[in-house]
Amino acid sequence: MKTRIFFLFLCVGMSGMLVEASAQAQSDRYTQLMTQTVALLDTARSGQTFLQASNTFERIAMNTPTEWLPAYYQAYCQVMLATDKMQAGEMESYGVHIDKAQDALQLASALAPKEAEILALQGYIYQARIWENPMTKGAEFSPKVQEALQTAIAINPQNPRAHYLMGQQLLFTPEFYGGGSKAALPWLEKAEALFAAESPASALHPRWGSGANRYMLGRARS
Amino acid sequence: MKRLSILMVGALLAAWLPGQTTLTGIVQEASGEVLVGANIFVKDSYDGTSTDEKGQFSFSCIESGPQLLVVSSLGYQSLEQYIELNGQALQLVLTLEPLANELMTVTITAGAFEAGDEKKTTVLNALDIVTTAGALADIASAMNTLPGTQRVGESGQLFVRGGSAQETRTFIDGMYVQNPFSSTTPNLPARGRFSPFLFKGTLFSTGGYSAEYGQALSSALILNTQDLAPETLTSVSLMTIGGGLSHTQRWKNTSVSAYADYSNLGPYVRLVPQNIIWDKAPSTWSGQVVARHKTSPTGMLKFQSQLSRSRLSLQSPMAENVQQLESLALHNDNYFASASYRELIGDSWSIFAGAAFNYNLDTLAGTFGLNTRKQSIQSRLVVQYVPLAALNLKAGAEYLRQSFKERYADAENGSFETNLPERYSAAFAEAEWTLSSQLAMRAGLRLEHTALLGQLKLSPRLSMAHKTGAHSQMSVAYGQFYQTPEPEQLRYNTQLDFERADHYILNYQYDYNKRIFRLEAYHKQYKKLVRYETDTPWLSDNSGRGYARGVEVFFRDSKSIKYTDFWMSYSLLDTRRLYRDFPEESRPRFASTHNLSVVGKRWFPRITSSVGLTYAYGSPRSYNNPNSTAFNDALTRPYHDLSFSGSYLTHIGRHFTIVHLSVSNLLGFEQEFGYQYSQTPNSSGEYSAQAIRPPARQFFFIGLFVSLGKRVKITAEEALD
Repeated sequence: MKTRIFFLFLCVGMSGMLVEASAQAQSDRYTQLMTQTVALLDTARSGQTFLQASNTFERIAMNTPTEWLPAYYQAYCQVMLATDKMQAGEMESYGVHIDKAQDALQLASALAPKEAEILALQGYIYQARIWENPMTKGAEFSPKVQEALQTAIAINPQNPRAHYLMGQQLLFTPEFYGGGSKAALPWLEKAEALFAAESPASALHPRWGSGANRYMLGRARS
Repeated sequence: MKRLSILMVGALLAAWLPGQTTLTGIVQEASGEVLVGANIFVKDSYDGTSTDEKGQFSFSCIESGPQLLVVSSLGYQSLEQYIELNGQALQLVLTLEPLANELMTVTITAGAFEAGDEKKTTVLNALDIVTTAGALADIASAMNTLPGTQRVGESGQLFVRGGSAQETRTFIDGMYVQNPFSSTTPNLPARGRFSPFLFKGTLFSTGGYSAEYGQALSSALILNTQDLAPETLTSVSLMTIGGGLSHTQRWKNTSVSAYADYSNLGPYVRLVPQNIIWDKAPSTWSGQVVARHKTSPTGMLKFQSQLSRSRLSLQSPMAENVQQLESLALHNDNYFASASYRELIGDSWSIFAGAAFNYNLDTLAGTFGLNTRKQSIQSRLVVQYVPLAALNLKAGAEYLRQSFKERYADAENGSFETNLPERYSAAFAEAEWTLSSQLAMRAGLRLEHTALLGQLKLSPRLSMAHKTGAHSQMSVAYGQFYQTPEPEQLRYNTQLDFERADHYILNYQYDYNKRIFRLEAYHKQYKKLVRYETDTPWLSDNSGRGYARGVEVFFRDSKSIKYTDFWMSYSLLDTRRLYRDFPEESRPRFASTHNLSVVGKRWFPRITSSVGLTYAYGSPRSYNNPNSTAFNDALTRPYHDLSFSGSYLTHIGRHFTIVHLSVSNLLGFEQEFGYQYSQTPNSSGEYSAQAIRPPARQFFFIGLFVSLGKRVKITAEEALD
């Protein structure tokens, strides 16, 4: 009898441990997958890599509906895919990727509405909308870019990506609208300093942008 | 017992221990084409992968038992499929259906030209209307660079596919606009009353339009107004012919704009030689209020009203003897107001309700007096139901009450009054069905009743589109269209029927990467046109008929040359009618066989300027010379015009500024639109003639447009501290 009760306890205890272990495994799997895929982004150049990464982030986002980072990264990958399509001159697919980026960011934003990184990326997506057709979309989206990026900077004045994107926005804004190299330069320079000093909250937190910022800085100085 | 317990624990453990199943396979389209970069995964798990360049995938899954496998790819319908995972490797062939979206599927393009930023199938965007040389920011003039239109210089209105100006109707947010053009004296070209900046989208239908609209035998110009104004802004404009002031205030969910404009051609006509003698050059006061309120994330309440008062007076040829001039003065007062509300109800229903008021008073004073007052109120309700992404059902009703009162008086004949009260009602239903990404169709019915004529008519409309390639498609359209005869015909006799036109349209469109090519052929059959003898207009009946047929080509390229945009339209038209007082079947006066427009624009980023040129050609038109025995055998000169427009974008202080310059008829072509003849012959039995020419050989325009006030503009110092 004693042994039977002992085994019963053992069983119950073990299954409890297993449930816990499974949750732990789930969390470990999340961290492991995220770490792998985020690392992929550091070296990603081709559209194919961004598409793969976007797919993985989408899978993670669906299975981890409490974390904003996977959906955030999915949105970022979609913006990268869109720019890839723009270079290839495929403006029809460009718009589809921007739509998808906006949908994904909406999910992230619902989880963390006051996150500076999300607002910065929102500014980027609005920028991308302008590039779809500057003549017709500029008037509508320029103020939105400014609003998103300014809010991001208000929340986190040290966010390098919001500064870089502000610089990029000004660099591509005609001079008579208050843009141009001269206006962009201080933002890009500040972004460079912020990138150098940046220490992400975790290994999974956003750290992209310094390379692009350096490129824009070069353009603004030339 | 002990053994049993150990066994139990063992079994329990086994269930928890990951037993892996390998899944391999391929993702493809129904056509067999493989899909690269498709996302494939087991639902509620992290297990999944993307397909490679060959559409193949391979991954292992630690889950077991029945699981849901999901496959998704951008532009395709996601696939969900149950699979059994038991450690045995699975080999799968998965087929995805293309998603029915705007980008991939067919859209009905027969007879329709879209201009706007909303849809991807646009031919012109809103800005094109403003920047097209020769259009002078006039919507109708910009539409005149599209195929299917004829240049009728003495009118300034839209003539589509052998139809008269009255056969084109303008709708703003679904509401009929009674007087879309400014009032003028005979043979003086009119301008549109509405600024192109009010609209976010324009649908210019040159035939076969939807059952939603009616009372236009040839064409519908469907204008959709802007939503909330983007920002608070004050603007000032200074032009060679006047000036304007506007202010827009934007709150979170509301925006209100007010405009005031004054134009006076007085100083201008003293400087630039004119073909006509002005007693008082045209002057116009106009004011406008536009309000928008977002009632919910999906609800929008719109209101706009426009008031204008214009005056002009000139020396005009007298009807009896055109060699003799009389002073003719025109006073016009016009008011238009409309309100509409749109809201989504649930996921698949939407509702639109609108009301509008139109008022127009024209007072013409010469040796005679003509007083015309036309006003109307209308309401409209449309319900839309979208049960499936591929099916869109619409039904609606409209009611219009109109009064038309006219009083003519001269010393010799006394006075003559016309009173034409009208109650027009209509109901329509329409279904748009995307059968597959290759095939779409739209079928509609419209029922119309006019109390004035006591007539009830049902008209079917049908169109279909089939995708013939990745970027090309064919469309066909058919429709019956009814229109109440104009007051000029009803003045003497209201015992008449609707006039009718049947449209048959075949369209081919290729659209890829900012290059569009369109080819369209059509046949339009006119029936029941009003006909009468010149001397007995009260004995009119609906025995008239006619036809118009033609081929049209449109080509646009915004891609090949950087910063350069180019389009070309050509229309071939063959039309004849037996109507009004025509003694025999003949070509109407407004129709020309060949029409060509070539539009080019170039943007110079370095000097922030854009330059545009538009060339227009219209072949000779027929008109009747009463001195000749044959009817309608005289021909006008061919029409040539080359117009220039240039814009320079700059700033005055911190205020965004546009300097605009435009010149019409750059090369000074002799433009002539036929002759006007005296109603009675002179002493030698001849009907004397007077050439109809534009008011001036050329038109010069310089304007300065400044946007003041809150422009979102951050300088580095402001944001970096």
